[in-house]
Amino acid sequence: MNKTSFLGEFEQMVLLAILRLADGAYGMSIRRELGERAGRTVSRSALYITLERLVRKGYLTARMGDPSPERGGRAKRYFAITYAGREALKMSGRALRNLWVGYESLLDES
Amino acid sequence: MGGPLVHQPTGLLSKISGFLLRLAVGDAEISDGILGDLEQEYASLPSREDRFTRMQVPYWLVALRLAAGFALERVRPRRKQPRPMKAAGQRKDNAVMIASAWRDIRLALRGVRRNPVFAALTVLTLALGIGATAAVFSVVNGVLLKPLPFHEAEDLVGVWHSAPGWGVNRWMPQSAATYFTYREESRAFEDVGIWNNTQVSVTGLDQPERVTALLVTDGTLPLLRVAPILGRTFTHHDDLPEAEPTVMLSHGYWLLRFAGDSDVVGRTLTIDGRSREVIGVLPPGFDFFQIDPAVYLPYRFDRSQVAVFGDLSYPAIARLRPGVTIEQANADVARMIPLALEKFPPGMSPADIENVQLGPDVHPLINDVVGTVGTTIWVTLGSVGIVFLIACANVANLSLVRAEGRRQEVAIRTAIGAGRREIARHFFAESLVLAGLGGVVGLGLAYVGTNAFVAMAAQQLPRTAEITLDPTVLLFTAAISLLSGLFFGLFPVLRFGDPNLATSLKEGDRGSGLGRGRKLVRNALAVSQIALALVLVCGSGLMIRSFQAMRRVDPGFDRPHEVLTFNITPTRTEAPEPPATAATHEEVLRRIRGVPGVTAAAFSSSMPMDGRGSNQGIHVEEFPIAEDQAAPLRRFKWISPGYFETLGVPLLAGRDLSWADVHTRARAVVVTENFASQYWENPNAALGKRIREGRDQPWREIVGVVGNVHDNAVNRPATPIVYWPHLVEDFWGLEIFARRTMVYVVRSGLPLATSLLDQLRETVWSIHSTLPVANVQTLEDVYDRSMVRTSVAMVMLSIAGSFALLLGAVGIYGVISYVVSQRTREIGLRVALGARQQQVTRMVLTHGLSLAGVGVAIGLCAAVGLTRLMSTLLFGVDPVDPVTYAIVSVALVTVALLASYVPSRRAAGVDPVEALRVE
Repeated sequence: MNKTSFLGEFEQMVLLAILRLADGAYGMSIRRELGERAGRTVSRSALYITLERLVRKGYLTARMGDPSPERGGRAKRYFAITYAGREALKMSGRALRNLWVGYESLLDES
Repeated sequence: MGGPLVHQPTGLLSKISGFLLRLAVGDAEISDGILGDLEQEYASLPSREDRFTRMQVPYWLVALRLAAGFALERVRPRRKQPRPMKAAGQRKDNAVMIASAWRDIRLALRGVRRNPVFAALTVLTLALGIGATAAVFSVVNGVLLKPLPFHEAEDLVGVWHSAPGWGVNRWMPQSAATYFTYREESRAFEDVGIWNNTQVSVTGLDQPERVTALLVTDGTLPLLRVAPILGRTFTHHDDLPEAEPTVMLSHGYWLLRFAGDSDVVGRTLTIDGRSREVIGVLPPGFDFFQIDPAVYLPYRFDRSQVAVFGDLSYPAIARLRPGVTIEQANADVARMIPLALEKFPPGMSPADIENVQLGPDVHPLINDVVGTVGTTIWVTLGSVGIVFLIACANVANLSLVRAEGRRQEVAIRTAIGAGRREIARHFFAESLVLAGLGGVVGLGLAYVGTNAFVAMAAQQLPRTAEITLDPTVLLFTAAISLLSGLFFGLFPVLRFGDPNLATSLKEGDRGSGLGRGRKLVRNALAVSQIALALVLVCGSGLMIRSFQAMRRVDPGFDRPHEVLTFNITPTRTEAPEPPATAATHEEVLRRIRGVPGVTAAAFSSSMPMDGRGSNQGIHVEEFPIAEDQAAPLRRFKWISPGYFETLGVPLLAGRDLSWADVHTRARAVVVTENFASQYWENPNAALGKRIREGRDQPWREIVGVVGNVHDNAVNRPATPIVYWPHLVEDFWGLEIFARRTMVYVVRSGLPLATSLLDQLRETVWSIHSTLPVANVQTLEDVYDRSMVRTSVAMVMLSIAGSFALLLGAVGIYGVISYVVSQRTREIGLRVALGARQQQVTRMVLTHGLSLAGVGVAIGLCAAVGLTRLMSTLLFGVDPVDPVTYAIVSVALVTVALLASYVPSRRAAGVDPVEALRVE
């Protein structure tokens, strides 16, 4: 396991979306979640590549679901966040929040 | 929507892009998850249109982008790369491959942009070759390869006979007796049905009309797996002679005449004066052999009246039982022929039957549909294939020349570490990109060409509706594009694949002239172009000679463009009996002759070359036929007086039939000259001799002998014909006989105009308002149609031949002018040493001529072998026709000479000072 490092902005968004989706997190639903909640249309390759990178880093685990006909007989690849992932997310979130302290109102006014 | 069958990602492109994604990701689980997401997303879109408006990007492109994204991601150097897992080595290789292939393609595209002239020339040449080949292949595919549009069409067969004793080797139809036998006794067939098309008059609707009817037995439609959309199909009961008359409608006719009224079942329709109950409507798109009938009628045979050798005139189809082969089906028919002779009266003496040697001819149904155009189409595909090869050779030469100009570039690449493989890949990428572009442009040309071809040949070609650029054609086009790219990419690769490349590059061989090997390759390419062109031009030359030979044949009639023909069939209500039929025709003819502008008119049961003539046995009094011999078959026609005069057939002896002959039912006949000369030494000797149509029939006297007519087609020998009066007594055991449908021939001194036709129609309708005038055409139309196979083949081969000649000339020009440019210094030296301009010109021309000479020699050998394949298309000319071969050889050498002349002038103009100063 790597030493925990800061996550990029996009990585954080992906991990948060997965947390929200709980058991229902797979590529398409994550992309939809990011679209709906963060208002951000995500390029498919960026998303899938990031997901696999997070798996490689040990922040996510992936498991295959059951194949279904509307997917051309293919299974869903479900993602779940690991302990390391939670820690990394927490750490990055804390760091950001600390940096934000005192500036929310300032920026909102401008 | 949303089932796995309906959504998008079933296409070839989707599969390919899915596979690439799999490669790029390197893990099946991950790529499956991604592709599954994609499919789900696309499947959830409500419709195809929506997919376009909302997604705007096809599935395969999305998958391809993903693949590229993954590939680039994997090759991108990263500082903090986690330790690769075990299988990552292989995965990385795949990803590198895809990423670098992409880079190669981009580099190649850049190269193409840098040298637009070369690129345009290459793409255009290839596009011509690929386009022509793809267009003709789409015809081959649609007409010859695609299965018939019936359910499990590969099990459908045509059931025919051979009868060597009658000189019929195949395609002899059934009699009702053989049909009954095969249907009841067969082990190989699921069912057998007979069919035939005919014209019938429909009355009682808006106006009388003549429509095409398909006669079928009750098994015919079910075995084609066609079910009616309304009502029912024919049953066994409809085929019984005592049943109520019934009719089924085609979908088109139902829409046209009944406005798609669903209450049509149960209504009656008057067909040939007989009212029939409408029992059903067939589905749209059902088209039987392109006959496109309006109505379907049941055949009714009286089992007690049929004989095996009765009326052998019914085409039959059958469906094979599962697993039965054509050979087994033929064996089964062979087994059943004796059975038929046990079950039904034979209709001939045992010795006659022995002599006929009736045998089976069961073959795939598609042969019946395609007929004899197969050869023409294959020959055309062969010829465009040759054009394609020439185009490839041309492009190969071009790319060699271009490769020469890129020695420096290659040297630099090698210097900075590119290996032989990288250089090769670079050249292949470039040639494949060019070939791909050529393929795309070619496909466009093929699209235009196919449409033009179909429009041109729709009349003469079966199954034109099947000719489309379908996936098979696309795949074929992609394959030949790829092959051409690999082929012409190979030459520069070989050129730089030399292990001693570095040294040869260092030499900078301006002085050393061309390498021996390369010169050989380039010459060989030019020679093969000439040889291929010669084969094609010989082929088209032979077709032109065949066509000329056909035009020279005297068809036996005169000025066909002045003769209008049409059919008239009095219905049973107007003319129930033969004498009334004959009288109606006589009256119609009398009035037609009175129409202003008509110089002569007559009618006959069939006109020349219309394919309706029938062959029947004939007996000659002076030459009795032994009981155990079959009577020879001769063409029979039943005609009105004045027929020969109208067509311009010369009367060689005796007289024409007269109205008196018809009215007194005189036993008089007229025969053709070739009929007479089979028995007697001259036409006059035939007069007064007697013939008859059956053993127990009265003799009839030959009163006239007329000139021969090529009744089958101009390229077929003139058939001996017996002309009977249109009303005959005691004929074929019938008290009185007359054919109901007659073909009118009307000669007019005026140009044939619609006004004349309108007048003729008025005249006919003034007698009976229910007499339709059908199948109007000029005799010239019929005459031209009989030559159409030859003329289509001639046009196709000539077009291919001209392209071949043009490309061949460009090929020679390219080689010679390149050689001249490479040898400028040497030529300059020669001139400086005192060579005269003439000598220089001669030197260059000799090079061109020697290439042409070798090409012509090789081409002649190839042509002797290949033109045999088209011998069935030829007429009046031998496949190895010395005149054609000589003319074509001279023509090719001349073209080669012209092509080398331009560069030779350039060589002669070399200024020695300039040429040497460059050094």
